[in-house]
Amino acid sequence: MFFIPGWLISLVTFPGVIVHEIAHQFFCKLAKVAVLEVKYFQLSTPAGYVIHEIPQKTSQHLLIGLGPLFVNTIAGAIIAFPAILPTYTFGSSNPIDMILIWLSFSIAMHSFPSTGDAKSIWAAVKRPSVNAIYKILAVPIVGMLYLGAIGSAFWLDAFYGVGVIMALPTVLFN
Amino acid sequence: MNNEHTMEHPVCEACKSNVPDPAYAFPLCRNCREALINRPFPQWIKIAMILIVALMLYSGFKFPLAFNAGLANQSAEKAEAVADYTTAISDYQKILALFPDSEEHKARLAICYIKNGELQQAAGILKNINDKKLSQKVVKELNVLIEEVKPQN
Repeated sequence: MFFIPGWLISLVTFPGVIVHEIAHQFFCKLAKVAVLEVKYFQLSTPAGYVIHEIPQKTSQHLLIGLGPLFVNTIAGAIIAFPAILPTYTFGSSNPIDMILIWLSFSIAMHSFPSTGDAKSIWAAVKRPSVNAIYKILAVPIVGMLYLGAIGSAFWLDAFYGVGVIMALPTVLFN
Repeated sequence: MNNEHTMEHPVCEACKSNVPDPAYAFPLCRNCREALINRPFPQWIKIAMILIVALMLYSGFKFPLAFNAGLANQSAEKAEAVADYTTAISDYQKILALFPDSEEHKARLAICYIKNGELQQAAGILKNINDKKLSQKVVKELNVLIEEVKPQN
């Protein structure tokens, strides 16, 4: 396992960070939660963040926390598909395909919610007033989010990014 | 004393003047909450979003082409597996119409032509891919086929 500074990874994959934060802000707006501060990209840790007021409902917490996971994953898969197939199946790609692959990988790689997002979701669901079903559902989700966040030290986010961009062609044509 | 005053008359955290909406834990007045919910995106983010959406649209535009090529490839492989070379030839031609640089698929088309007895068409393609880099598997397959169809003295 080799070490590359986090800021360098963020710099190379900056579109993913920006899309992740835009998705957080978008879901805050959708959930009618006030956004107090936004950093779309910076060369320090964290590479981006959205500070919002504490949502009143658990569903709002889940929407804001998990929203970027779906937005980044779906956007990454859609952007990659028409570029991956010519490149890997037909050996016939152009520079735009290369840009699309880089962009889609960057976006997909930053799908995982951060440990901050996981903490926020966990704090919301562990409140006594929260329905037991939410708690049962939240345990594996939060567990996976933590695993993803910790796993990024071992390139799990990069593997996820590769998996997302390769998934659609593999599922459809293999 | 000041703290007591704040507790009795809390003010909005954003504008520091209006009374916060008591329905929410975070002290924001109705106007400020509305403004922060609808916080505008900065200009450069809007431009980045437009660029990303444009690339997504470009991908969306190319999606059906790539999808059809993928389907044709799948169909060609299946047709080849059951020795239906006419179908395989038609599918490989579709792929090459979309991706004319795919040397590997040109070679597969040549293989299907040979197996279908269309040697002239195969020869035309083979001339074209003569100096191109191909996978070992395809080269081996082509060499075996060429040996088989070579006129015997």
